[in-house]
Amino acid sequence: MLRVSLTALGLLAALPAVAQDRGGLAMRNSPIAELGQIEANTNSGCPLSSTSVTVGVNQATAFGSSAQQRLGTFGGGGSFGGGGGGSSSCRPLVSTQVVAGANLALGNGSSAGQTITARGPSGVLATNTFTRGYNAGFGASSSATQRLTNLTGR
Amino acid sequence: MRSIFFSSLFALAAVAAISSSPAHAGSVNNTNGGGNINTSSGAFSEADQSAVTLGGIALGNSHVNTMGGNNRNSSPGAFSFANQSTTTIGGSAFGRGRVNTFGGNNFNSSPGFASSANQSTLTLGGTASGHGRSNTFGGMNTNFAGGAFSSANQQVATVGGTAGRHSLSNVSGGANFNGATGFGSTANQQVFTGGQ
Repeated sequence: MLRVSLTALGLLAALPAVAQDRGGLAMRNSPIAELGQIEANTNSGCPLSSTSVTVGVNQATAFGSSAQQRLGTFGGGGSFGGGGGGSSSCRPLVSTQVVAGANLALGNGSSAGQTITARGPSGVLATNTFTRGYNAGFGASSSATQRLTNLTGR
Repeated sequence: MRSIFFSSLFALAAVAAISSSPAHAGSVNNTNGGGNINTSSGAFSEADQSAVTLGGIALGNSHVNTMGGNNRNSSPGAFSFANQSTTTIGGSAFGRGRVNTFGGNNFNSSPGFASSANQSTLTLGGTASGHGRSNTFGGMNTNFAGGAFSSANQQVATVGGTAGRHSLSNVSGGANFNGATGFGSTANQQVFTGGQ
């Protein structure tokens, strides 16, 4: 049981690291244009980078137990509007958004429910969106329900 | 079938959002919604998983990479039930853009006695037009009903982008496996892979 939990935690911890590693901006065909967009964002006070990481671990271990978890992350900017205080016209250059969840119903007759919702702005130059879920019902007559939603503004 | 219906409605809504959004130049869009694991190991257990990932939009000399595959769904417990639904929608790349859409390599199995496993995977990539390139892969899926009186249902839909004039579109959806080896078992597999 402990091994399963540790493995799930390890997998979830690795995902944001991978997202950060791939979340950079690579200069391609038109570096002049990209540099211009960087300058425009700097002058207008918009953020250069926005990173959102939402990780949830939910487990019901005891006999007949119930564990319910709801997580929500709402970033500003983008067409979704001002959930986090940003305006709809102010978007970061690079946006990275990660949602990861582990939901485990380990005990006999246990129930585990997890809902994670994340919304964030899209990046002007780069948008990286990662979603990863691990859902398992190990116990006899157990129930595990997981809902993951990761949306990027358009 | 109902999950495919709702997924299709969601995809249509996303396409409508794409067509009405403002343009901006030269960006990268990586959307990764796959790699999910859902399993019901205990006897009479139930595991239900849903993951929806909606990426942004990339226009002009852009790269759009959408990965919604590599999902695992299994019901090894006796009389158990495992249900998995994964929807991944990437952005669009116009003007010498490159669109890579991967929705394949999904695994669905019901090895437990009288167990049931249902898996639905929808991956919708973007659009590459005008000297663009679109690569779509939705194959290498496995659906396996190994337990006695078990049932395994798998639905995989992978839709790549549009490749217009002077564009190149590669579509691959083969190498799928569907098997019912358990006594009295049932295995249903539906795989759709296409460009636009």
